Formats: sequence, C-alpha cells, structure tokens
Amino acid sequence: MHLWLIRAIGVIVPRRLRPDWRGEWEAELRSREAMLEEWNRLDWRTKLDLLRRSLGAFWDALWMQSYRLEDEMIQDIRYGIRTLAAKPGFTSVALLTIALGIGANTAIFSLVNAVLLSPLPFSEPDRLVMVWEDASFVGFPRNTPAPANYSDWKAQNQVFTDMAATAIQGFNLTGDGEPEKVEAFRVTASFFPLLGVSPALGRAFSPEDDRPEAARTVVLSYGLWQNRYGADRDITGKDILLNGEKHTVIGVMPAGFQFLESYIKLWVPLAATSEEMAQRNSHYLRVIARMKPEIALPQAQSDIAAIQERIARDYPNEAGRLKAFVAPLGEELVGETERPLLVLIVAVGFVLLIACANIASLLLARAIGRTREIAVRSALGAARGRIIRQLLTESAVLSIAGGALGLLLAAQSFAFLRRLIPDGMKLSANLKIDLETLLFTLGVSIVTAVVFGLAPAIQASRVDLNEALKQSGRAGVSAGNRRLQSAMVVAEMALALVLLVSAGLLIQTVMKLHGQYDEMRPESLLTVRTRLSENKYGEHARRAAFYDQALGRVKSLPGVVSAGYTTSVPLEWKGGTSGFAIEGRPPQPGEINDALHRQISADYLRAMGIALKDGRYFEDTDTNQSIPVTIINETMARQFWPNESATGKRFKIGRADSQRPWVMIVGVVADVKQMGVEVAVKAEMYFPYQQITTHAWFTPRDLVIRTSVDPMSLVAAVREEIHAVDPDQPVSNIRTMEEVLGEEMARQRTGMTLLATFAGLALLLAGIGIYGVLSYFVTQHTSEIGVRMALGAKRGDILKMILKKGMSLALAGVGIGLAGAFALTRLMASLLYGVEAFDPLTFAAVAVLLAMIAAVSCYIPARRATRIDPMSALRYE
Amino acid sequence: MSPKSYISYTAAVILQTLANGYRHGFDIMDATGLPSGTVYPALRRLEEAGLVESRWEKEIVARREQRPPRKYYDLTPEGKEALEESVRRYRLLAQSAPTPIRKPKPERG
Repeated sequence: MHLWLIRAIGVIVPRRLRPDWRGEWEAELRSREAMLEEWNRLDWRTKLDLLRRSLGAFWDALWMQSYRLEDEMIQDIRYGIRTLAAKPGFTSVALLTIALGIGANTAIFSLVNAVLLSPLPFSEPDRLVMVWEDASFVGFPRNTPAPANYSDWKAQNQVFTDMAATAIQGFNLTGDGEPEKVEAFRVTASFFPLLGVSPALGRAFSPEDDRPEAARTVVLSYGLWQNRYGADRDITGKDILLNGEKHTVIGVMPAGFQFLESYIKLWVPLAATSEEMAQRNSHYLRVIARMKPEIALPQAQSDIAAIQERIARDYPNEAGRLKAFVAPLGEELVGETERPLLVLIVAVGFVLLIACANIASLLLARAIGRTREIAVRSALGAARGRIIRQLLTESAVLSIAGGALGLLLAAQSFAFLRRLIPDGMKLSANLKIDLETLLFTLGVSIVTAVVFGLAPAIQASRVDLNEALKQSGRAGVSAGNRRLQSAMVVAEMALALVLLVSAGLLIQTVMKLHGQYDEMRPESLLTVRTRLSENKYGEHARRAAFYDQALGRVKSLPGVVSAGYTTSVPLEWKGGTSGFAIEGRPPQPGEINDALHRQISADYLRAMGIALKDGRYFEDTDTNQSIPVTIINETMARQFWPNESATGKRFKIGRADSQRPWVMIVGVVADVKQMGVEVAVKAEMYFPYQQITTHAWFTPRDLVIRTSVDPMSLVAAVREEIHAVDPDQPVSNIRTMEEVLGEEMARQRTGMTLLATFAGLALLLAGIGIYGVLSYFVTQHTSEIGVRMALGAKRGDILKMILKKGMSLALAGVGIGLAGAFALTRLMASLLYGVEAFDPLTFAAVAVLLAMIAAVSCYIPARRATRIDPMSALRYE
Repeated sequence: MSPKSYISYTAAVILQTLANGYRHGFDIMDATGLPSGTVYPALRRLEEAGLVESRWEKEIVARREQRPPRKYYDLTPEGKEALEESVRRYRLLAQSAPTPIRKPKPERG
C-alpha cells in the first residue's frame, strides 16, 4: 500500500530523478517490511508506521523540486544568453530600449522615494505641525503669525507638548575673512528640542540663552562650519562678529539638517523683549508645534481656531478678521510637488509600456525565424509550458541586463532631478541608489520581461509541427502574430500621443509663465543685494547717502543704461506689507488695508521697465523737504479706488489718527507679478527712500541695473563701485533677473523638460515601432508584392498599398490617443497656467506631428516595397 | 574545499549517526527518532554540501536477500571534519549520540 503512495508522490519528482528516487524509497520500505515479517512483527501497528514513513516522502519529493528548477533554470539562462549573443543587432537595440525605459522609471522612483516616501529627519515627524494665521481678507491665506498671537497660542493651547517660533534675520558676517551676508533664523529655545535634533558639536540653546539680556550665542550650520571655518573642531567657545556684535559659537548642527529654508546658515536665540512679544501688528514668525501623542490633527485645529476666535474678540482692530489653522509639517515641505510627481510617474510608465510594445513586436517578428528550432524541441519532447518558460527566461535575461544598464543611466540623472526636490527638503532628501531602488529596478525588470515576453512566447510555442518542419521558411505566420503586432503599434501611437499632448501643454504653461515678464526684459537686468547693517546705517541720512553715492557711481559705468534701488526685486520677498488708512475713509472695525511696501529710488521703475499708467514717476525733486508722495500699482488702484482715478488721492501708513504725514498718490504703474509666477498680483505701494525716515524694515537692499551688455560682465565693476562707497559692505545675491525668474520656475521648468524628454523618447520609440512592423510586413509579403507587380500593378499602387496599411494603424492609434488625452489631461489641470487642459490647438498640432512622423516611418519600407524586382521576388519562394 | 557552512543541530545529529554506523535512511530515522520528512531533506542537503556521499548496494547483495538494492550514505572526509567541528559546538552531541550497533558492514563494490 505504501508502495502505491510512493508511486503517487513520485509523480511530482522531476522525471530525470524519478527512478532513483523511487528506487531509494521503495527499497527502504521493502527491506523494512521484509525485516518485520522475519521477526513476525508485521501487524497493523507496524504497517501504519510504514505508511507514516512513506508520507514523509512527500516532503522529500518537494525538496526535489529545487533540483528541477535549478537545473532547468540554469540551462535556460545559458541558452538565453547564447541566443541573444547570436543576434547582436537585435540585442543591443532591445537592451538600449529597455535601459531607457527602466532607467527612467528608476530615476523617477528615486525621486518619489526621496520626496514623498522618506520620513523627515526629525523625531516623530508626523506629530509636527506648523501653525499659520489665515489673513485671506488681505490676500494672505497662509500668513506668518504675529508674536502676540504666538504667545497666546502657546499659553492657552491644550493640544501641543511644546511650541517654537522662528524669524528670519539677515546678518553681515565679518571679522574673520571676507564680509559675507548670511541668512539666519532667530529661534526660541524650544526650537531644537521640539524637532528632536541635537547638534553634531557642542550644544543647542538653553532657556537662559533665549533672553534679550543674555550673552549673545550662535549655532552654526554644517555647511557654514565646513566652508568658512574649515570644520574646526574647536570652534565652540570662539566668537564671531554678526552685524558687528560678538556672538559665541556654542554648537554646530549635523550635516543635512535644515528646517524649511535651505539657505539658513546660522541660528541665534529669538531673545525677544516683552515689547516684541506683545506685537500684534507685525507678522513675521514661523511657528512650529508638536502635537501631544493622543491628539489628532482635527483636535489641534479646533483648539487653535478657538483660541484665535478669542483673540479676534479681544482685539478687534488688530485681529478682528484674522483666523488661524494648523498644517502638518510634511505637507508644508512637500507642498505642491505631489501632483507633478504623479504626472511623471504616469509618464515614465507610458514610456516603459511603449518600449515593451516595441520589443514585443520585435520578438514576434523573430518568432518566425525560430519556428524550426521550437518545432524541433517540441518534437524531442519539450512540453509547451517548458518552451514558454524558456522563452520567458530569455526575455528575463534581456530585461534584467537592460535594467542594470538603466540603473546606471538613472544614477547619471540624479544631478538634474535634484531640482525637483522641494526647497524645504533640499539638504535632507537624498537621491541615491539604495536597497529599495535596487529592489524596485529588479521588480520592474521582471514585470517588463513578462509584459513584452509573454505574448510572443505563447505565440511562438503555438507551433504546428508539420508545417514548421517543412522546408518553407515562411510557414507559421499566423494571423494572430500580425494582429498582435498591429495592436502593439496602435497602442504605442496612442500612448505617445498622450505624452506629447501633456508635454505640449506644459511647454506652453512655462512659456506663458515666463511671458508675463517679457516686458521687463529680465535678461538685461542685473540684481545685487547690499543689505545695510542696522548698526552702521541706523540713521536715515547715512542710508540715503549710501544709496545716492552707490547709484551715482554705478550709473556712470560704461554699459549701464539705468539703475535703481528697491526694497526687494519681484519674487524675492513674497510679503513685506504695511497697513494704511485712506484719507476720508474711516475703516470698518477689523478691516485692514494692506499693501506691499517698497522703498525705491527715483529711477527704479524706469530701470525695471514698469510702465506708467497714470500720473508720473518719482523725480529728484521728491526729497524729504517736499510733500510726501507715493506711486501705487494698478491692482491697488483698482482695489481701493475702483471707480475713480487714484492719482491725487491721499493715504497714510498705519492708522489715520497717527502723527505720520499723509502721502499723495502721484502715479499709477503697471502690475508686476511679485508674489509668484502663478500667484495673483498684490496691491503694492512705492515710496521714495529719501522721504521715508522710519520703517527701516523696508529700507532698500536690492540694486537693479539695466545693461546694454551682458549683465554678468559688469559684476566686478559694480562690486568695485559699491566698495568705493563702503569697503566693508557685503555684496550678495548677484544674479540677473532672468536667473531670479529661473529659480522661481525651476520646478516647472524641470518638470517640463522631463516630460518633454519622455514624450520625445516615446515619439522616437513609436516611430521605430511602426517602421519595424511595416518593414517586417513587407519582407513577409515580398512574394505577394512580386506577384502583384508581375500582374501589372504599378510602383505607385504598391506604395499606396503599404502606406495605407501603415497609416491606418497610425491613425487608429492617434484617434485612441486623442480620446485618452482628453480623459487624462484633466488630471494635470492644476499644473497648467494660461492654457486649458483641452486646448484644441495643442491636441491638433500633436496629432498632426505624430501622423507626419508615422508617415515618414511608413515611407521607408513602402519605398523598399516598390523596389522589389518581381522576378527575384517570385523566385524567393 | 567548500567553506565551512553552518551545520544545524539536526544535520550534526545525522552526521554523528552516520559515523556510528547507521547507513540507510530508515535506520537513521530509527536511531535519531526524527521523521522521514526531516531526515531525507537533511541527507540531500548534506550530500549537496559534499559532507556525505550516497551509493547503491551491490545488486548481488540485494538479490541474495530478495529485495531491491538500497541506497546507503557515508561520511566524506569533509563530512568527518564537519562532524568533529559540530561535536565541539554541540557538546551534548557526543553524549546523546546513539550507541553504535554491531551490524555487519554492507558489502561495497
């Protein structure tokens, strides 16, 4: 009985090993049986025992499977490599195609991994939130909070373990080398402990350091410590000069640490006075908080909202319409990168699919050449499944080799892809080839092999032995093969069209965004920053003298057309507002008139190319002895004086009952997109710097120079002139306006470039695909064409016939692609600007382009067909 | 010589059992008390690792006893080394190894 069991189990043992295996087991069982019989112990108990033992044969048989796979797998791999090496042309084309497809996917995966999937380098980062003011009523839905509001939230909340606040502060770093302008964060003592990050060297701030009367301390960033202080390990305890004041270095943060901005080089204590903390009108803090373990976001949200309501009630003038909300830190950093990344993921997926379709087509074509080989194997006893497995292994070898190559290509792209990392993660997010990336690449390679290899493998193994073993080599061209190939071409065309349409839309978006600044001619504008330190230039007279002298010298340089000073060039400072009161218009309680506050020199607007719409520009006659004047932008005029001319009207900064003078509007200028390339223009008011003696916060720091030569060629000269006025004045942020714009649009531009690259790749692959299929068709039907020509068909007819075949496939693909694009582009609507997701012009242009490329691809094989000599074609059989 | 790979306790027991003279699969099962589902895969693994080799009984011997020829296993020199190593590691092994039986050695060809 147990012998039958062995025979049954033996079925799963690989055939080659079966006889030995059965022999071993049966021998053991028989000898045991015989022995028991000899000793007269063969009863039901011992028989059961024998049965039990034979059941164990099952596990042994399972173990034997590994031999089967191993042996045959290695055989298959060897065979596959040999086959691929025999056809170097096909193999190299296929390898390259796969490498590009998989490489692109790996690159984008690394990006997604670094930005979306990796946790932030803080302790328990999903507990961290930022708290913002909601000042939508003046166009700032996400507003930096005022200190007094922060204090109230901190004191009254019940949902946070702790809160911290930061404020940006610029410093002139002098004394131990080149004067350097650095951006710093002033932070509360709770800041570093809240994030859970400890300094790499030294210590962070203690509550004692965070008092206005404490000795001045500073924590350095890793980058600054390396670059300026040569990674000096004894840096702690040393003093550095910030704005002329001694600060003691107490610590250095670890490499790759950043919070929000990547250009912050130092941290100093906030050390706010009680007056500063009671300020409810100046909004400049960034507030971060850690939620208690048992608290969820909605609870934190309602708690803060409730506190803010109380504040609004208690201080209706300052905060009557102000709200507050809580946002997870992760959201803040990743921001709007999610949607573009999704688009890229889909795009590379498409590219890979097209590559797979191409290779599948190629394999289908090659399958014909292998019909005999497969028929022979089949005749020798190979099961169909085995043949399919062998063909798939071949595909897998190709695919994994291509994947490895693709991995290398992906690594090369990292430098470029880094531009897509949101600024808030620039230092901490890393694009690298790690285990996850490797696993991803391997997985994609295997899936790719199945996708492009399965259909051809199944087709190839479906062989009619009789037909195949005959001499005629053309047998076995099944209709199925042809249908599959046609389907591939149509699919490729459709996918390529969708990609091309998307790329086209993005290209137009970037052009429209950039086009908003065309009037400014940003490529001939040089911008430099000369931030004046409060210590040296505390007095207005000194400041004004500096500007006057600097402007005078710079304007006299050859190659300079005009120059001007401003608080900040557009896009650099997306804020900086002052409230104001309009003459004769008492404000409603809680209503705040708010506009961007910019102090400029007389020629600034002209130098920038900002057109005058009404009234006049500033003149040299607008000094601090003449009446206070202002120029506003169109948006401000429309917003506050909608039905009348704003010129001649008056308002004053701050409240109507303050002692400040009324300023008169003398001109209205064109809008400039200052808040962001895609953000609506905000009301903006310009004041001549000679006339504003207070408000040092807004004192000009950016110098713009309109040049008639290459702007960067004047940098050295400009520096010299500035230093002639003040040799210790740092000159920083030297860029053309074009570069400022470029940085602002870096993300959009990079995304556009990537998508355009993928679309171009797709177009190329699709073109090759259709060429290949048609070329193959011509080869297969050479005799038929020869017959037609012999029967009187002209070359023109043949050409038309082939072209018709090819173009009908192409146009079918274009049609499906248009439908697909129609459905899919709405998903990227949020990425577009100035162009609709269903822009008919783009759709039409792309369809025509694709059809033209297809026509070219079809033409070459078609012409080849016309060159067929009927006589030799008929003989070719 | 293949690198010394980790010998599990089960494998070590089986090596010891072979050294003690039990050569056939079922005998090893009896001696160690391990089920066939454990012993046979372990024997195969040991054979792959080169620590054990298998041979078939001579036909003559089998025919004499009127049964099919059985497979028997033997330690290779590497296997003997591995066993010494294992005895050092699994100190209990030397003590818990089954007592060798006085069985006539199977005739080898």
